Amino acid sequence: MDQEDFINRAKDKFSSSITEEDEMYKILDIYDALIKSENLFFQSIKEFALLYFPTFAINATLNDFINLKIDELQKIKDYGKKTKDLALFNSFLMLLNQIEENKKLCIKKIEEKCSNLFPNSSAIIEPLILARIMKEIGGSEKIPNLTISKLQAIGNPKNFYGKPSFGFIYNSKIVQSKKDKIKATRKLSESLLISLKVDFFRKTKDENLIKKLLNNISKIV
Amino acid sequence: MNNLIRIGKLLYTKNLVPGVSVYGENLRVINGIEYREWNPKASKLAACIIEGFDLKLEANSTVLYLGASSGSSISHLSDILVNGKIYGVEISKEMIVRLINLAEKRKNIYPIFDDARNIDNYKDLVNDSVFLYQDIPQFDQVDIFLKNLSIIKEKKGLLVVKTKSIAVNKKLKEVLELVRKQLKSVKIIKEKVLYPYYPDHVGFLVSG
Repeated sequence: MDQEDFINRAKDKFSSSITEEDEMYKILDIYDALIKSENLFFQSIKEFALLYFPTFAINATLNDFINLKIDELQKIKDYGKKTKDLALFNSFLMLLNQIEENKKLCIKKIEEKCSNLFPNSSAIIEPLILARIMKEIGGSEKIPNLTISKLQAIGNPKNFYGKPSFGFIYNSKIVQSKKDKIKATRKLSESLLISLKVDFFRKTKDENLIKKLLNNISKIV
Repeated sequence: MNNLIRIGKLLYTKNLVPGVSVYGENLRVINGIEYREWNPKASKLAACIIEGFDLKLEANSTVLYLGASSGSSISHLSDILVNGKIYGVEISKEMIVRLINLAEKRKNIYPIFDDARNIDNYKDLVNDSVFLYQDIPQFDQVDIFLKNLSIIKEKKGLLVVKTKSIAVNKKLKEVLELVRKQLKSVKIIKEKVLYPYYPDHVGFLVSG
């Protein structure tokens, strides 16, 4: 075999090795990077806005800036620098809006891919959290070796070691809506593990199973 | 080894592609010939050569390199083995892209995108290799090395063991004992800790 054949073989193997799961994790990385950059950008814009509209900017949140329009900006009567550089400020706001739109696009893609890959599990927990869990454990091939205790500890900040309930699952909407969050975390990770294993081995959506598993969690106050 | 010189604490290899720096290393012209700086702090293979491991490689030798990564060390090997071949086995997707990129510029690098544990996938392609170099910091790296050594013609190879990957809670001496036991089937020609460059790494030059 020539060197060119080796290169072509490696290239072919590379392109065939990329799965939908890989794509999902990369989109998740981009989503995280967008969140980070959005927060940094928001802080800088806020400081810039403070020069022109101090009363508005000091208490403004990220959503206030995203929903802000140029017409509204002109109406705001505030003390601060009088000759306002509104064109520049508006272009910054547009960029912030673009980041927000891209974030939504990322979430949509992640949800789409997650429901394809894990049809039962994505019905039990938010797809974004599920994607984070799957990325943390190292891909779906690690599912057969997964345990409940390990699952509920995933995403646990280091300073919470010893209290394994404060992971990604703890931050899900279902758990946060319950009073006994620790118990709910345990129950949800129990149900999630069952659904993950069904997804891994069967790969088909089972409505009855989803109903049963969701019933388990809803019993908790 | 041809095309390799040592000046002070650094190694230099004659640049196969003049004017091109592969990973940002310094280029130096000595007696009208361009050389690429090979820092032993950035490459375990360079550290092994500086520590006195005699690999006895000719310009036309064929080497099987496990754990090729982005190809920084492999590029220096390709400077040395001008008429030879270097089969670089790599499993990581990000790294194989870089290795393919490098192979397109250097005609003696043959990239293989595979797991070094699955020798059946590539053993027929690399059966003309005469030397094995392995630098995969995994707990079963000695097994991987021995598996791959079985397909090398002259059963000669250099194994760089990362002691912390094999056992974190054991002392260096204990890990070395373990590795020596595993390498029972082959003859250890030279064994040395790569101090001060890589205090946790030990080089084993073996022959079958």
